[in-house]
Amino acid sequence: MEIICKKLFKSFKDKKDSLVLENINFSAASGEFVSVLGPSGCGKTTLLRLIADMVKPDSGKIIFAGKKEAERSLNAMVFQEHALFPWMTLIDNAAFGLEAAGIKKKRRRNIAQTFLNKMGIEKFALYYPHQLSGGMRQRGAIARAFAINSYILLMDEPFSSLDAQTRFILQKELLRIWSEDKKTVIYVTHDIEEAILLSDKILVMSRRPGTIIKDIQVNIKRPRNLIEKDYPEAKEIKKDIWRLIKQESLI
Amino acid sequence: MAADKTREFNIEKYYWLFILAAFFLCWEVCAKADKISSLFFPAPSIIIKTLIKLIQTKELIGHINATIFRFVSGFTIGAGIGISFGLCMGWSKFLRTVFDPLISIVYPMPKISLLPIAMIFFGIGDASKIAIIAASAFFPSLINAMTGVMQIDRIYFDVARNYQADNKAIFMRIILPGSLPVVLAGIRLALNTSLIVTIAVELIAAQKGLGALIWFAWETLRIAELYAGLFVIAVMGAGFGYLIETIKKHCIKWQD
Repeated sequence: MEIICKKLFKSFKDKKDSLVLENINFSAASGEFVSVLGPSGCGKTTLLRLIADMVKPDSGKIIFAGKKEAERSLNAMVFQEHALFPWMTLIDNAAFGLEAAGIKKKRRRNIAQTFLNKMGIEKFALYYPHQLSGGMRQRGAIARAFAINSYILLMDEPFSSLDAQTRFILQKELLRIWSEDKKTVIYVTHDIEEAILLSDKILVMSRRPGTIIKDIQVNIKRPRNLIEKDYPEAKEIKKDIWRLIKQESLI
Repeated sequence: MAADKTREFNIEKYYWLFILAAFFLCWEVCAKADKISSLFFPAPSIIIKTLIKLIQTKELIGHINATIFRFVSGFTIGAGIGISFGLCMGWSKFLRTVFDPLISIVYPMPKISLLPIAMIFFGIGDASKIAIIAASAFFPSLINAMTGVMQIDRIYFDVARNYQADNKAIFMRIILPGSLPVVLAGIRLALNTSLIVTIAVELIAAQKGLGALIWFAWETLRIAELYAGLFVIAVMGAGFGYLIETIKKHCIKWQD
């Protein structure tokens, strides 16, 4: 599924004159992994919520191009931490999207179990979130998002609250599960290295009101190993982004 | 988790029993030695004998039945309506805006003072008493149910909407379980309040019931019967509290 955003504007009504997003234009090709990078408060999350159709833009258009089967839902969101329902076991959490879609208990449990397996947390199927570590909870959240087999995956700094090692492992796991069926991914982050590691394309956003100041293609062959190998392209991109962000913070 | 079940015997958990036993022992000794008025503070052994006599003559069971009938029906009606309405108010900002001010006005009013009005509407029989008991259970149930829904983190509603859950699914899978701990706390409050009101109503205006038993015992200076009645009320209150705790442990496995 291809995503095309055209001239998106969004402001919040409750605070006066608070334009959050200003003239957002970009497109994400089908199966492309696109990161949105920018300082906190720049409207990254709002952009994600616009694409998820959880809020409406003031003006502009979001077009989803590509064949659409009736049964499949358009998008699934992976939120920042604490988004698993604390009153449900891990497997019920993973099956929630399927349950909301009206799929019978046995079938949705089977599907959810498959994705718990893929994320390596099948042993904890009957645990409640408070019994799990932050990393395992986010694995659960990813399983829940993948279980509904949507065309698009929206991720809102999903690993930002994890420690560096866990984050590194989960980034790899995410890429592995994503490479199986190449959903279009919009991944919000404020971590430059993470964006370079994961993305086909990085959209750098300005401070609020957020607008896209640069659209960077990451042409580094996958799988990437940023820790052990030196990629000249990665260094270039990093420098490039730093320069942009520095400029932003000087304004 | 397995450790919970095989927890070692912990003597500290039973200290309350010693304190209680010491209190009654002290009372018994003082009463027997005539250090305190045996008219107003009859020895616990005498109270127990009176209690057994009341049980044997089947007098007590009649009072207990009358009290439990009023209490349970009033509480069920009041808490049932209160919880349902409270959940809706927690969910809907519109309902909150309309009804919250009204509730703030009526809630602090002692419900027992409305008994005469209730009698005008429902007569002097059980119906008016049950109405007052229901009113006293209604407010704590409602307010806690409303708070229970409002304290559910917004992100869970976002997740539900993102997965296109319909209102029924949101209610069953998020609102109900998410508010349950606070709802149960409200039920506990409502139980206490409505037990107080049940006894108070019976003190004022009943021929049968534990409240009536206490009041007649007082008026006829059968003080041991008075204490026997108080004992039964205390056991009843503790029993209902225990019931709620048990339900809570059973229903809410997902909290620390």
